[in-house]
Amino acid sequence: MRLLLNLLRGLTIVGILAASQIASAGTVYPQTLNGTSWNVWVNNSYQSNGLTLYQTGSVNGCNEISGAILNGDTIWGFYCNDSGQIGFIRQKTITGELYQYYRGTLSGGSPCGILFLSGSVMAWNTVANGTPGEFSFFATYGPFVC
Amino acid sequence: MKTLSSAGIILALFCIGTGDVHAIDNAFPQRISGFWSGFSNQTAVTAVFYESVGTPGSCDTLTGTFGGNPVQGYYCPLSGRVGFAIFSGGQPFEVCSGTLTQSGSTNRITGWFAYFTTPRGEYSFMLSK
Repeated sequence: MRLLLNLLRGLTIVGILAASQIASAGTVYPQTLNGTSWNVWVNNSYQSNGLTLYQTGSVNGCNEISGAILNGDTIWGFYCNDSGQIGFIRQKTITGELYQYYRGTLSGGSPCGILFLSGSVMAWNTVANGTPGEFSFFATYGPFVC
Repeated sequence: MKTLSSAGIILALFCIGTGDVHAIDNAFPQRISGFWSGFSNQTAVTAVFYESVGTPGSCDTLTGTFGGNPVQGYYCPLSGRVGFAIFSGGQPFEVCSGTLTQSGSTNRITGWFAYFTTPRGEYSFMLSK
């Protein structure tokens, strides 16, 4: 009987913890990513400050972004400050081909903390990219002294 | 305390569940080629896919049309992942990503598509054949 009671108490604590985790999912994302420079990992490549983002406007919802990635290739797409979702396409500078699409979600970024961006890269152009398929994508921004 | 204990029991039952309702068999359709129909956001759409089978274990190259526009992409038979860009005027204006499932003789693709120019954002699509 005592064992059963202890088990129930344990499950109660688990329930309270689970509820608090669900409640903490209401993350507030940055209103704008304008002028941010990110350390970026694309598949097995890393480059410090390899991703630069500029944002046009900062209304609630999805806003236009542009910038550069890795070797200076141009990118443009959107950032949704209500969901933390980001998506942009990459244009090969030399040929002008649009050949990769990046999709990710923001996390972290507590006051003055590191902002994380994780997701995947879609590559469909075998001429520009070589291998078609999906690859990993990760980036960090910060931390900053408050 | 009794109420909390009851909540604990309910949570435990919720976590443990009554069995595996997903019946995952870890197999995906080997080919995506064919005529598909479904919806892209709230618009009915048809698609035709052609798969160029490549190296076993790697993703295959995908071509065809989606809503009448040419597409270029990939299908990965080992993971069921499909992704393609939709072209207009020689450049992609939209990308789609999804996963294949098979139930009986019906194959389905569900996923999202994204506009990276106006109207920016992500929307859902589904196809079946």
